Amino acid sequence: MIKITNLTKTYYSDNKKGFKALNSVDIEIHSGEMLAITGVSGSGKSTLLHILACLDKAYEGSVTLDNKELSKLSDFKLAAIRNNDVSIVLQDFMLIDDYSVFDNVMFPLLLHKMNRKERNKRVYEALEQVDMVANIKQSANTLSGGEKQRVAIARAIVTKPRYLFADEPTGSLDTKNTEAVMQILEKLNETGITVVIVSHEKDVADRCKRKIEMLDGRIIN
Amino acid sequence: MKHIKFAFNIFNNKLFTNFVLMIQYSAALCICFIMISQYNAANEKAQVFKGLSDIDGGIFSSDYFEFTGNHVLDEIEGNYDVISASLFLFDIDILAFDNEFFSYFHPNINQGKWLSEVEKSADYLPAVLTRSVFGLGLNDIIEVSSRFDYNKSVKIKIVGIQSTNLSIDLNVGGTGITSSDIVQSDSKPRLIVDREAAIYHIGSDYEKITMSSLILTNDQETISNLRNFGYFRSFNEIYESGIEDRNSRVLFFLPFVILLLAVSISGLIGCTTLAAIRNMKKFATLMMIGFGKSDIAKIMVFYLMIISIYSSLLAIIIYFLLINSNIPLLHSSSMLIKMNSFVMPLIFLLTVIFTVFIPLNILKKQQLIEIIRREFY
Repeated sequence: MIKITNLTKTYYSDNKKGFKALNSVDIEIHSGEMLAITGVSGSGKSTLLHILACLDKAYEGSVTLDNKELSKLSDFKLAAIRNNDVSIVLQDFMLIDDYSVFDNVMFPLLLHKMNRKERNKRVYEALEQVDMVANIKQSANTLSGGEKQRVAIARAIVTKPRYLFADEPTGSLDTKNTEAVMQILEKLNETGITVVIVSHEKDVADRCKRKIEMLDGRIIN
Repeated sequence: MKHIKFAFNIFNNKLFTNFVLMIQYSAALCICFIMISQYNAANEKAQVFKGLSDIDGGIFSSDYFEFTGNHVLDEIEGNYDVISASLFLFDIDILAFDNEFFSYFHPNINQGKWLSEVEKSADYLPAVLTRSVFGLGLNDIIEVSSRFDYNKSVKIKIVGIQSTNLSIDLNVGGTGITSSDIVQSDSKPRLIVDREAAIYHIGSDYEKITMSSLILTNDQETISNLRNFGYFRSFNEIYESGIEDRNSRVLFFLPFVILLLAVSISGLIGCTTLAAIRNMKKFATLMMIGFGKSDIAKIMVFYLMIISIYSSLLAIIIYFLLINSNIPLLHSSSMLIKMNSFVMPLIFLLTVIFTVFIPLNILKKQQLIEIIRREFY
């Protein structure tokens, strides 16, 4: 379970003038939920997701993930959480272009103690879930947007995380690929993974069981 | 392995730039190897006289020696002792010294004993070999013939083998005395024997008296007489000139080494810093999936090590080609595996420390979320 209490995130510009991207946010996200965070651009939804995904630790307030206070953890421990417990999928996919589909999905497993056979098996399983086994040897920079996003999801789930965060996962995709990606995310949620999706697309948000709307760094609905 | 794989990926992305850097770095290392070789070659020669530098005396030579042998010394007034040396020109040159010499001069012995520790024998002539060659080993008994009289042969037992191929030959065949020409370091091996034993086994007819002699004296007036009559250099002077020679070789090469290392390390710093900046997106991706900053630092260090190892291999190949190419400057270089094996890791270490400092500092200051926002939003 994730518990956010009085979370405030302030960005400081060069003239030290602060801008509150998040302002006293309180949320509880229960295990197994499929949650959508919506809002207009600049409402703070992506900032919130980055904090939940342990990418950002410069904030005020409290964020606990399975009773662990994230702000008190070292960079090393946060990296371990990113590798084991949480995964994030971004709108721009964040694949390493000069590596193959297999390599991209396999990279997170390099930090796990497992033999090559077991590692390969896990990569195949993840790619099967996103229907990308046929492209396994293909270089990441030759994939279409939809394929890249599916590979990014496979990389996110290959370590079998309990939380999957997706920041505008369908933002760069056409309708057909949006549907495919959403189906994958729904299936993953059915397997017990907590899925949190940030999206400004109403259709995407409507497919989630719970929705939170943000405006000016606050939860308004 | 994972870090090495990523390091190779960064290396391959800018292959041409890395190749230029490798050439620069190889040149620096190569000059460094040559400098060390020159230092060691000169130092080995100087060290031969270190054991003698505390002894009052020196080496005396005169042009008249060529005709009169060391009898010329009879004409010089003074208070001194003479240690004679002579040469027997056999299949392997036999260099003979008066027995007293062996207690003053004690070279590093790799196997067996030095002649001062060996008993005389009526069956064979005990000898120390300056270099282990031709399959000759310790305790081998060989029969060698005179170069001028094939009927004349002598049985020699090898009782010791020197660590380095250096022996004082008292300027046999030369006209002057310098520290470099009285100490032989060429590939030709020699046998060092007791002169009295050599005369017993071979006979004085085959003996070629040298032009120079070791003179033992602490009398300044005698030294002055010797200097007036011929060419006299004290053991200490010879040792010091050897050290001077060694230092001058280092001083000759040092500016080149410093310049080339500075240029190549600057290039490496620039290249590594650019690689860190250019690969920031890749590093952010790796950090997003669980890699830590220490993993990224390891990748950068491995990237540098790949360049360093390739460069060193290239430098070693060039170095070996140079020392086998009969270039006079390099001719006296001896292979210094021990020294280079100490210096190379040291240069590696210094290069890596200097070179990764700036890129690692840049990476350290970067927050993951800032990189992600900059690169992906």
